[in-house]
Amino acid sequence: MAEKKKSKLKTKWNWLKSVIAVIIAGFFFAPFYIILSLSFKTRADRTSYWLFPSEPSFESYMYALDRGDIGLAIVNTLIVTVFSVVLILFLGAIAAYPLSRHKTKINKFILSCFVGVMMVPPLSVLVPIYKELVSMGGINTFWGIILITVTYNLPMSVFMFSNFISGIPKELDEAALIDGCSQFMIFPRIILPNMGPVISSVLILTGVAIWNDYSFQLYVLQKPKLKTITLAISAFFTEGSTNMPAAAAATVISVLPLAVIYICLQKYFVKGSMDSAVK
Amino acid sequence: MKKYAVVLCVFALVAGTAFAGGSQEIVDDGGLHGSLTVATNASSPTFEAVEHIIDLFMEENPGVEVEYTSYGSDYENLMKARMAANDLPDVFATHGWAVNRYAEYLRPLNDLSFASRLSPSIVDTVTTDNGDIVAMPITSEQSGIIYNKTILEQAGWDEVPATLEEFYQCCEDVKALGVIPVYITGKDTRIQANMMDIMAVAMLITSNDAGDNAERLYDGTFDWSKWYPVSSFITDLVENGYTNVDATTADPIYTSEKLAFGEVMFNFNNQAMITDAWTLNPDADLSMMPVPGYKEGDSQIWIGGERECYGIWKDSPNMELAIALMEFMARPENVEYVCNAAGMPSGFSDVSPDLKLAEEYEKYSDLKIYPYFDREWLPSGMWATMRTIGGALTAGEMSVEESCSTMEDSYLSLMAQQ
Amino acid sequence: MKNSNTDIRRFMQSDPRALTFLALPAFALFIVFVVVPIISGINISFTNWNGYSQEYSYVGFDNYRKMVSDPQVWTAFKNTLIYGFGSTLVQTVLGLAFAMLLVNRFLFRGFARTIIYLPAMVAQLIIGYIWYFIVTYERGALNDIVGLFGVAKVDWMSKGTRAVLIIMMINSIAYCGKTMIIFIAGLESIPNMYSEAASIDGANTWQSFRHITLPMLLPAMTTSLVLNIIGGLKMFGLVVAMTNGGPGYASHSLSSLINNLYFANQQAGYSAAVGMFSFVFIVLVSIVLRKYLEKKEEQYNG
Repeated sequence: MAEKKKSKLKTKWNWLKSVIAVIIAGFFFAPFYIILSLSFKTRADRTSYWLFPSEPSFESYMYALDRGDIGLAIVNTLIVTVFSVVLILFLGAIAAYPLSRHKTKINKFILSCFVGVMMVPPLSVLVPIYKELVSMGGINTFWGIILITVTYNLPMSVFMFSNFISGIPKELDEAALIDGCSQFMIFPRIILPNMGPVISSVLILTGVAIWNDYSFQLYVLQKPKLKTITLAISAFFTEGSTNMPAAAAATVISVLPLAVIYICLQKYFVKGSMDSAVK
Repeated sequence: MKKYAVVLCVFALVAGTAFAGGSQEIVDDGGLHGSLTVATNASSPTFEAVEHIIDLFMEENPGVEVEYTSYGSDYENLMKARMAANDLPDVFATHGWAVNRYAEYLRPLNDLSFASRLSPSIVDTVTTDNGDIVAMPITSEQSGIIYNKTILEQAGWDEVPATLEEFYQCCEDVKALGVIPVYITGKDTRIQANMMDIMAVAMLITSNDAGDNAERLYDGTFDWSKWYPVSSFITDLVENGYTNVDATTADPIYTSEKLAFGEVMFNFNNQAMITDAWTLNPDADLSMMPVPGYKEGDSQIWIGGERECYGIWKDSPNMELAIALMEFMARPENVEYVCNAAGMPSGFSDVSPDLKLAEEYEKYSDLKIYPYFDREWLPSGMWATMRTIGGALTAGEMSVEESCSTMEDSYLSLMAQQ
Repeated sequence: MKNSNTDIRRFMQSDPRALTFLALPAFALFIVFVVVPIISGINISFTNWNGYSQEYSYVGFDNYRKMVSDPQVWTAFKNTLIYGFGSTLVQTVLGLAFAMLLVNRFLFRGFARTIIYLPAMVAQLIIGYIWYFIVTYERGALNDIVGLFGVAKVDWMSKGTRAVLIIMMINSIAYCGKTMIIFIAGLESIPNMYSEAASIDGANTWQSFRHITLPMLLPAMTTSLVLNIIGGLKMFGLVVAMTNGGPGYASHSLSSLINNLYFANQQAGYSAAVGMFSFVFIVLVSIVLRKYLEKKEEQYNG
């Protein structure tokens, strides 16, 4: 009897929770509603941002895809993001393992260097980096942007991976060592198989950051054929005339792939954050 | 294991597309060969017009691949980084800074065939102290203040205001109509800097009581308390309610629609803004008026200089191609095409495009054209100081006196750097 | 010779110090693209370079001296503190509240989680521009709503302090989704038996939250604190899109000021000096944070 009552109460609360959740979601969706409605308007349409146009115009989408070359931009962004993320996951994981497992002085120093990089405002070193890349011939190349992107996003992955690895019992390593496993094989055999969840959260966090990077891509990828999504969108902002509906349309197109990936990975993502944050 | 294989394949595939460089076959038919990069900050419709000319160039020279890109509002920052690294595009737009910023990196063009055809009123603005012509202005600018003819009539004026006093009176009359007299988009403080840049010429250089200001500005002995009226121009407009309420926060993206739909009277911008407003509303009754004189008896003036203007990087590895492209762009029919599309006067003396505003320019053709104040009479770098004080003056965060001393400090330190 | 070979083999086989080699690739990138540029930045900070010319001269500590008395730098510094710590506070409160609401399964839970996280997936400049359309005076979406209640339009971003607070709030709203996800993860890892035990002991909701949930969430809290504070301190895109540092220079963050000094003001030397200051400051904050983190970690494990 008491059980039943309790569950009834719970359903009632759930109903209320659903209402609150939808209201909050509505609030958070408002800015996106505005950009959606803007993307279906023409430049001369000056109605309130809240009003969806009565006759949606696809002109801006055509313009964004055609003049803005959003299709090409998505491919370029994918190339930069996929390569960078793979490298970040790989380099981050193999660096995090010794740094978090053996807290020697030198490892502690290296780890704090990495965390220090998270603190560097990239803008304050942009021109020195640019000059360096020019002398290496890295301007207008994918490897140039990938190296820079990897460097400035690695710390986050080292940070999260090392937190996560600290949480895996050391006894597992020791047991493997006794079984005759080389210490370099412990990582792929023992640690890596456990890292699925944290990998997915690092993947999302860095993937999103790289997908949306602007400063580095602006300076390194100057050729129109190499332009990425953020560069394509910013091209709609010029001093003389700014085509906001086209910029809005380009934004909508560029967010879609991310949203889809996020929804697919959401389950793992939460679990990964849990394990790396909670240890 | 199979899973890894698939991942590897995908990776290899993406890598292949990412790093595959196209190898081009070179056929020697005596024509030009190679590739060229051209960079600009031009926006529509100037960009499309120049792009068209470049397409024609590539048709004529099938062996040449020209990559023409506009970097819009990021152009200046990008070019600064590229100058720092001494790695510039073969041909690039100099947007008013050919002499003061880019000269060090530009190839003198005096020996090219078009040099003698450049219009005398413009050529000085692209000529260094040693007499090197460093850039080729395709379009030029003849700016004053954008205004709306219909509103001017409604406010009871037959003629545009000819002095500052009349200008304020006109603002008062326009305000009474319920129209915003002067539209300021202060989120980007370029607008206030531009307003002061224009008014400073009328107040400090061309006015009858300007005295030896110009010489003193050159030699570093200028008395900066004389800047007072220039800063006051901004504060007067704000304090008398002659500007839009959101003068400090409005984004320039709104300027063209405000002009297009007749909601503002005056705006300090160049012809390109009118052209853009016409794309939103072809019937907008917009025109350009000369800058009013400072005091009674002072003449009205135009402010001008180069607009869409290209130079050649002096270390360009594709010099021959770059010169060929410049010569091609300089052909009268090509210059005319760009000028007509952009709605701007040309930088060549033998090209007179068919402008919508031609009547206006004709009417004031006896007025002299002066360069922007900061480009001629201030050391490079003062533009930013003018932006800072312009923003602070509009927001009421700085007094006019403070703005004068800020200008003085910045002027003295930049003069010392030279 | 043979002997040293076996030494090396043994070292590689079982000496944990050998593992440090695994961190070498990452460390090499760090040297090339972080240390070298920073050294070059330090060098620039002692010059009067304009940011693009091949010529400049050394001016000693002039730039650093100038910084001390420059109101722009202090305003930007103060704002950066507000952006960093203010948003972290708001983000933590909002993130925790949403996490508590959305941790258990019910209708629309996944939907709400996705929408709340959505802004964190969009570039800061774009988020900034969308919000600019909301708070702007002319046709602003917020003013449209305010207008429905017969209130006069407000130029929201025209006052420095208000603009700073609005940017801080927008930053919090945009990124509280990240915090929420971390907290949801933390909540899910708390074994049910704790709260059940508490409710049997007669603890009310608040007591069980205060004494059981909150302490168990500490590790999640520290992770989100580090990420949020750093994110806030480095804020750039939002400021540029919302106010461009204005009115005047009242809403600049250190990052946006550095960018402005470098490119617009052509004071690369001075900008580099401010950059070094901001770097040292953020590193100091991080050291304090890490010490705190380590202490908490020990408490938690012990």
